[in-house]
Amino acid sequence: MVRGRRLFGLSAVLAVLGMAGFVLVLGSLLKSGLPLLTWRFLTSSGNVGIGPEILNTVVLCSITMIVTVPLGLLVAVYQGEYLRRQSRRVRELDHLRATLMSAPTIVLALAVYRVAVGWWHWPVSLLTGALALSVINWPFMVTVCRAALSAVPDSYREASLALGASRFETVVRVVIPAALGTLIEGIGMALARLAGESAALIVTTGVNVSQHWSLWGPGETLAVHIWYIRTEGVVSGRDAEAAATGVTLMIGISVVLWLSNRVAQLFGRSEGGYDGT
Amino acid sequence: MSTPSVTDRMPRRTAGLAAGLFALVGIILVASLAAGAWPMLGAPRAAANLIGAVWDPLRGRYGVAPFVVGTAAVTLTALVIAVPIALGVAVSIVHQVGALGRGGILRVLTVLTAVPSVIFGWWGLQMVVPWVRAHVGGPGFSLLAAGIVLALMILPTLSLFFAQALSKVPNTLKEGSAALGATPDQTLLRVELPFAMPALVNGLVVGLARALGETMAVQMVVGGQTAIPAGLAAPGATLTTQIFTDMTAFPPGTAGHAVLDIMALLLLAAMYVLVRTAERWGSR
Amino acid sequence: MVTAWIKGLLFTLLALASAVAPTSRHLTIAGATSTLAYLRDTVGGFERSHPGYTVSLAGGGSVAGLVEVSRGRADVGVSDIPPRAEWTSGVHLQVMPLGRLPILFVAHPGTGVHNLTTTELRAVLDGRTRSWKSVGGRPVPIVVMTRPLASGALSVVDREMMGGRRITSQAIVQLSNGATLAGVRETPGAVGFVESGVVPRGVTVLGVGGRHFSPKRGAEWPWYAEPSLYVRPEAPSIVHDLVRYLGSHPNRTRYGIYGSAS
Repeated sequence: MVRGRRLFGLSAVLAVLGMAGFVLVLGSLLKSGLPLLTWRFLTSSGNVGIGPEILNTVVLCSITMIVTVPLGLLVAVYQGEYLRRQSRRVRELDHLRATLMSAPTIVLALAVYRVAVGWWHWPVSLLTGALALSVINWPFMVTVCRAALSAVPDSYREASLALGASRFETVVRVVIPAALGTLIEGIGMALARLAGESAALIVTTGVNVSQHWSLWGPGETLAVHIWYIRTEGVVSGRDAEAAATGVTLMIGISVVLWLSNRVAQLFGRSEGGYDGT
Repeated sequence: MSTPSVTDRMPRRTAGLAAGLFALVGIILVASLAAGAWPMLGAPRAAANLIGAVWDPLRGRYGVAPFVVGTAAVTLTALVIAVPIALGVAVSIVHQVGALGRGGILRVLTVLTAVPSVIFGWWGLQMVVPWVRAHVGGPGFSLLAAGIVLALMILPTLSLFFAQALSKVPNTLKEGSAALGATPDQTLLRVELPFAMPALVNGLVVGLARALGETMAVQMVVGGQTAIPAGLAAPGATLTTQIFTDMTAFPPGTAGHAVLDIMALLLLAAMYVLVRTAERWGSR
Repeated sequence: MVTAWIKGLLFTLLALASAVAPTSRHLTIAGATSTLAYLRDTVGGFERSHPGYTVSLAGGGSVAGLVEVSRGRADVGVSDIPPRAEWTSGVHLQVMPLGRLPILFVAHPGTGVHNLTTTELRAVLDGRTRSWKSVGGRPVPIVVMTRPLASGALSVVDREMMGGRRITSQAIVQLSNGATLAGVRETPGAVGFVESGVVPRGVTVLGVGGRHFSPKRGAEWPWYAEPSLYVRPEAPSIVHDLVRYLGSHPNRTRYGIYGSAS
């Protein structure tokens, strides 16, 4: 090793150590889970498979995104395009957003539960879960949109405004298209985060699967299923089932992230990861 | 900003409405917690009870100290383990990996930030708890186990932030330092790290917030003991895990529920302080 | 175009919020986790014979079950413990007992102890006895595992076993039945209690005061929870049908729930 580069060597060792930790996690997950991962396991329901859980995870995430993407975008547009930068209102909204984003999801879910189930008399169901996930995801979506919109250079806006376009036209025709790549990647991150949520869904969507699938019916997701197996696990040998469910979930998340990254590149987002929040 | 034109009025209002709704959701949340906490906070005698170290809600002892201690211990353990490793990862990414490999590594790290917490909890039960039991002693379910699981959870986030911070150090600074005869180590220690410090602290705060708020993964391995933990190898509980465990035992309106609401408010206040801290450091 | 879409979305959201959800066709059961496996596997049969109806199961614990059903947030509450006025806010709930679910005291197989007197077990659970050696086993420190305050099993153990003493505050709290069992199985020196009608594998089921548990005579085991379904009296008839179905299904013994006639 070259003299005076000891710290670099140390860094490399530490980096390898960190990576080894993840190899350990994902490796042990794959090792216990893969043998069980058959087509039958993925598609059947009941005690032999996780088909309905996959469907419920997809449905919940989709509804949540349909609701929160526009709402998140709207708040971000209001903050970034309509209010003066550094104005008090922008900063207050930013504080609120960041605080809500770090609030424990169980606290948010219980508040939603009290309103939706207590006041509106919704049943414990997919829709109640979607509402809880929307409240959880809204601050995250605002963050993603804020980051994406503010990365668009001001010169784009000025040019558009100078050509006589209104603010709104500028946002829709210039700013959002320019930010689309980053936005799509952020949406992928949000989806991944939602797919892994469990604490909030145990109280709002329930822990079983209905024979008659309905939005107003129960909807156990993959992450909740992992939790349930550990909870109920009086029967031994279900650790493998939990692991197989975990592998399925991880594959789903990786595919979503990979796809969003690919699509983002089509829209001119450069190679490399999401820049964080 | 220019004055809004007529065509802008409607969209502006819609966006403003959405922002208002967003603020409303946040305010309702805090207000509902505060309303739930009021019966406890409003009574000085009962509130004094909160500072104690004994959690025995069925007998009216509502000391939250064990959970504050537990939260602090778990979070600190996680940071002590994760920060050096994350710095190592970041330095390696910035200095020792070519541009091509860098994109791939950043992508992998991004995917890893999205690994669900139940999976970390599952791994913690399978490997960390037995490891702590075998090598450190105690029952295995412990603050240390929770700290290790959390450390791994926040590692990708921290690494990404640190790598971003270090990559923003201008090359001219590094070259200048090398031209003056500094070794790469000295440049790293005396030029790059100080320059990147605000961004590094910002990343640290984000990691800290993630560790503070984690519930599921910690709950599965921490042990949930409600006495003040005797050490890192002893089981304990954190604010989030205790809220999760006891939420259902105390229906809204009871004193026990008020204490849980206070714990939730405490967490939110801590988050707010962190957000403000990150903002101050980030803007330097 | 965009604004029209936004308006549509807001309108839909408002409509959803104000709509009275068709609760009568979507039933919610909430409460104790001890019978979750039985309920989870049995509600499917009810749904099959009642097309158009869905039944959601939400966890949460016994107290939550009682609270939710009396406030009308759940149609059926499941609880191992009898209701108290502070939980039900004065609502008189109708009860359908499911049967008896034995509470077994289990220990890690490596302790070397198979039998304890009631006094010994009490001293183990309240933390006075700290090593298995003092009760005739190997020199392994005792690790007590218990359940959260919302647990019905804990309240039965508190009432029927502890004789006024409390389970040690040093105990590890496991969220559910399954987690307790897994924890005891994997932790040397561990002791805990689980609701189970079968002899769980991988742990020692402790004989207590000279009694030994056997599934054949499960109804005779002296420590048991009585999981019951609770409904509001004014609940629609379909809810009463559901409760009758669940309360009389012959599958119960397979999940260790014994008829209370011993």
